[in-house]
Amino acid sequence: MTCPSDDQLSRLLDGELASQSSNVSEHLESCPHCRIRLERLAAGDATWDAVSGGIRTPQTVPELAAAMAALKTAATAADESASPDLPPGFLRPPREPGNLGRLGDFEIYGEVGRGEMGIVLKAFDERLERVVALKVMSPRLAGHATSRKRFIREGRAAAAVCHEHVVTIHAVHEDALLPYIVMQFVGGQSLQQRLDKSGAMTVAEILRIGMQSAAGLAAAHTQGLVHRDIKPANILLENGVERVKITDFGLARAVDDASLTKSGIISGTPLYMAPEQARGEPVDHRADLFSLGCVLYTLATGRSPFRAPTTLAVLRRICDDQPRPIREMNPEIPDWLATIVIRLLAKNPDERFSSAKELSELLAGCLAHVQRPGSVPLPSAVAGPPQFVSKMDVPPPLSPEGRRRSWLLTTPGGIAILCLAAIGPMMLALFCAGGIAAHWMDARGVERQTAIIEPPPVAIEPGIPISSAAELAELKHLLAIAQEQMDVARAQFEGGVMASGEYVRAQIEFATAQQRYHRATGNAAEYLAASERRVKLCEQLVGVHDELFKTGRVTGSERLAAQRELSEAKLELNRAAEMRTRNK
Amino acid sequence: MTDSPPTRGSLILRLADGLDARAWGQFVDIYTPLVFQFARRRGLQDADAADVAQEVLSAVSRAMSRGQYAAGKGTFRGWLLTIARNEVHSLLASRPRREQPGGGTTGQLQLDAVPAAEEVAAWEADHEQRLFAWAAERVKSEVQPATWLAFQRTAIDRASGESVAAELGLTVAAVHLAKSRVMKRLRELVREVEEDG
Repeated sequence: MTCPSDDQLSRLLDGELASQSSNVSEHLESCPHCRIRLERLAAGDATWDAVSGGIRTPQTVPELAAAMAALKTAATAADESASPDLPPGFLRPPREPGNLGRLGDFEIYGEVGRGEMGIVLKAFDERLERVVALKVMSPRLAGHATSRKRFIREGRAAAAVCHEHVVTIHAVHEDALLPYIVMQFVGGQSLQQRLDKSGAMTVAEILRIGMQSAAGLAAAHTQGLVHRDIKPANILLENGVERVKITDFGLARAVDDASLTKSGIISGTPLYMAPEQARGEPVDHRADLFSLGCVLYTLATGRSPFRAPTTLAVLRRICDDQPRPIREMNPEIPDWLATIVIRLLAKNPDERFSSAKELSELLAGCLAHVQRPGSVPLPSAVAGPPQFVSKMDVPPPLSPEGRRRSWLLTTPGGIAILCLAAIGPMMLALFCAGGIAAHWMDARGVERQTAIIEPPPVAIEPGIPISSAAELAELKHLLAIAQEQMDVARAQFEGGVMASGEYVRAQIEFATAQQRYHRATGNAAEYLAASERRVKLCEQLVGVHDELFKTGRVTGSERLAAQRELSEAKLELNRAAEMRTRNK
Repeated sequence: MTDSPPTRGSLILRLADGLDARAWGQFVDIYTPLVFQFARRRGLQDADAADVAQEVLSAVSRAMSRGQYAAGKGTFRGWLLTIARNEVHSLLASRPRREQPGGGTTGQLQLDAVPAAEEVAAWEADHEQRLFAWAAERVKSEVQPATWLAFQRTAIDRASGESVAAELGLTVAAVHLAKSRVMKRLRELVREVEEDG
């Protein structure tokens, strides 16, 4: 027979050619050409020379086989983050029945917790006759010389800190198979457990926990110790009065060493990590302040500030994003507390409080006021007009019912301007340009009065008419909203929750708001820049719409609308260019 | 000849989803010897190399179960190489130099931040070899002994079809068919477990 087709050869390979196979096989018997064809069909692109070496007898090495067996029996889906069990024989048999075992002069009652770093045991110290906690290093970590040494060193350093808000470390034992730290036993729950049970907290509780945590941190910072892993799980609340006790100082580094952070695996989810730490830069005590800020945010809102679906996304948010305004999530939180938390969350460490001590004292003053508002005023540092603001402190995005809140803004010169949302039946406004005071009602019908000190509006470039102060303020307000919306959109876009077209639209809104504001202030250069950006973004949107139109996801009229928007943007760009040339 | 695209349920993706004991078992089977060999090549003894392999795979497992493997950033095997290098380096750094056998270059204590091109190429080649070696262990148990032998003698030992046919008492066509069928099956298995992209 003539040479069979590729298809026939294929089917022969697959064993599907029952009836005809004898013919094809016979042919193969005498046709080397077809045998080669058959092989090519089977082998594809595989370079057999390269791989055939591997196919020879595999090596059987007992240690390797043991390693593989161990890996397979190890739990994979189960809580891998927790330390594995203590090795059998690590503890000697207990003296009292019902107890777990013995270690040195300690009678072990049982296990009280298990984390990445190790297992925490409750024990009785027979020499000093007191109950203690033993933190035994995880076997997984103890095998690494570097993390072992670090565990011991950090344990010793933490022992130098003696403070009522830091878990006291009594001793570090390194001679055992697994190193362990002897420390004060704290009965109670961690802040994480408390949050899981009860959610967000009252202002007084937040202040108290913040104040005590800051005080504990201050003591450690004085000793030159940085915690590096402040989070609710490491803040214990002692039974009864719920006194704060910070634990696990510096041990995060031991875990990092073993988890090979250089390769990109970070121990645990870094929800509370400072940006400088996330970037791998050297950290100092101010990283702890950032982390404490994240904790306070969580206490105030019930959610951590930089949540995202993956570790990488969390780190990116920490470095780039502002979190949602606290007041937006919990209106009970007063402005001044939100301001304190924002400051702790500054990306630049220089902008945070300079020390934990300063923070602790401030929070103590605030707590005193909250407990006796009539007789104790707020500390002056937070009571006066805010000295700084970030775009966090803005009202929520426009809703159909109109904007609901007013807010304070400062110009770079540090002067407060009260800006009002004039829409909506609930807002009354008396606003005097260059004026002295404004009376207004907020959304809850509470009458408020705030002093305004405002310079007369000055044109940035002479000869260009500018809008009134009120209009200017309004535009700035709109600008801030647009920025906030854009940031939210970016987070959603990068989190995969929002389509690219939506995100581009949010960017266009922002560029448009910038245009309007800069035109109103007569800043021709910025006006032009914003106009250029808007045109580029509109072009992008038109492109997106064209694509979507092809697949029927967008209607013809939507597409036309995008094109019209582009034309308008171009017109405005021309106007901006004209303004620029006029001013030159 | 049509090459089908990689399956969606590639091994790495299944691992990243977590909770798949079978995928994990397969993963251990394929990658532990690969890392072991890598460690041996760096001068480590069997016991140390096995420790390194075990630690590397444990680290991968932990990262996967915490959703820390971001599929977008480079290839899985690139990531694995980084971890393996770091682990070997950690081990070597923690030992006093004089303990290493044979003296001389005991393993580069000076770890470059980025693996050299030759290193990456060697790793890629080893990786491919390992995949086929693993597949071979599987296929060998799936087919008739004569079929496997026909394949081994021709594809690996490079004997001619005619001589193998005589050895095994088969027709030349049968020998070639056996060889081709095994090759195809190997290729299929490798493709099943290769990562996407």
